[in-house]
Amino acid sequence: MGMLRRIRDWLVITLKGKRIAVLGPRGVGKTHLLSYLSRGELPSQATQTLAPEKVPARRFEIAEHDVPLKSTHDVSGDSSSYREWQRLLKKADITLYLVRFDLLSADDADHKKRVRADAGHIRDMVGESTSVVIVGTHCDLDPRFKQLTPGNIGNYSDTFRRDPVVHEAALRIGKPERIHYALGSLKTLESAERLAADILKQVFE
Amino acid sequence: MIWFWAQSLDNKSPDMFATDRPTNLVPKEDEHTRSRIVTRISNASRGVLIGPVAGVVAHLAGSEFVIKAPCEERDVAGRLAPVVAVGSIPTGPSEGFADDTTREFREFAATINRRLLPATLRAIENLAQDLLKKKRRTRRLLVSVGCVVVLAILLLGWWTM
Repeated sequence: MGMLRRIRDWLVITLKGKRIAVLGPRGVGKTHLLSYLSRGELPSQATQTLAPEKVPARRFEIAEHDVPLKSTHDVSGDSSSYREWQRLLKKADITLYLVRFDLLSADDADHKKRVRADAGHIRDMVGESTSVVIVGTHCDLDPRFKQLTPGNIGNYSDTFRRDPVVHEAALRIGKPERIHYALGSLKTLESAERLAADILKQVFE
Repeated sequence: MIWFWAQSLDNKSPDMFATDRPTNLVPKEDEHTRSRIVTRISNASRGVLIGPVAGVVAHLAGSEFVIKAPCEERDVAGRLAPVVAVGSIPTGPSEGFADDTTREFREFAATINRRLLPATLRAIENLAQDLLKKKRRTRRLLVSVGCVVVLAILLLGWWTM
């Protein structure tokens, strides 16, 4: 039974699977997100990513969606790794670009500058048909996020889309119909599941 | 010649690289060299995995090797901060290879104000020796296969004469 299931999953991943590229500055949560997507768990011991690390393929269900993901690589967020980003983007069907919304909200000049620079590079590297999701992370560090209720979460998401740097990055990356947005935190398994579901819902629907 | 790469602990300052000497850091403006080191490390990282030993891992791709070793320090996000080295296995005499690799790791770590535990340094030395052995075994295997192929061709030629 287990073997049959593995063969079926392998076939579905090969035929219908999507390859994702997870990009973003250092410390935004790329490894955490990839760990959740590939193994359903968060890293027990976080380590800075330098050399690219292979992330295995996986088929799973999340928020009633069948998600077949092909293997990919976890890459460094340093700007010296743009060539590695390009290598990843060449094969990717979906690009997830992660930014720290807590830092953008706090007007962090370094993070804003880096996001602007990344957006220009991604525009040059990303394919015409690739979907791009701009993912805001570390919302648990934003005091506004803690006070959210189901009634006003939409307003908070709007502040992310309307953030001047996010808006500018989206315009730089490409056509508005290709750009999606997701917002959340990767602090706990539950919050990672919510964020992953939000991202994949937009990409697979 | 071993090249080094380490990420800054504040996750804001530029990453640190060294090429010609472990104590001589590549200027942050030299994007070309920095990018060349990343690409070389990236290519060699796709090779065979050896380890982990005390948190240290190595990869071997042809003659190129990568060793990744964690430092004692952690970054602002509480993550382990490794140092990564890339180099070529010597084709000639290699008596000092493991010692030199360990020494250069220590020098690069000191240059960027990091510490490597004695157990980490021992693991680097052991993995460097393993890399040498693995490379020698592969070379011997290739020579043996080559000899068998040449012999088979000679025999076939003699048989059909």
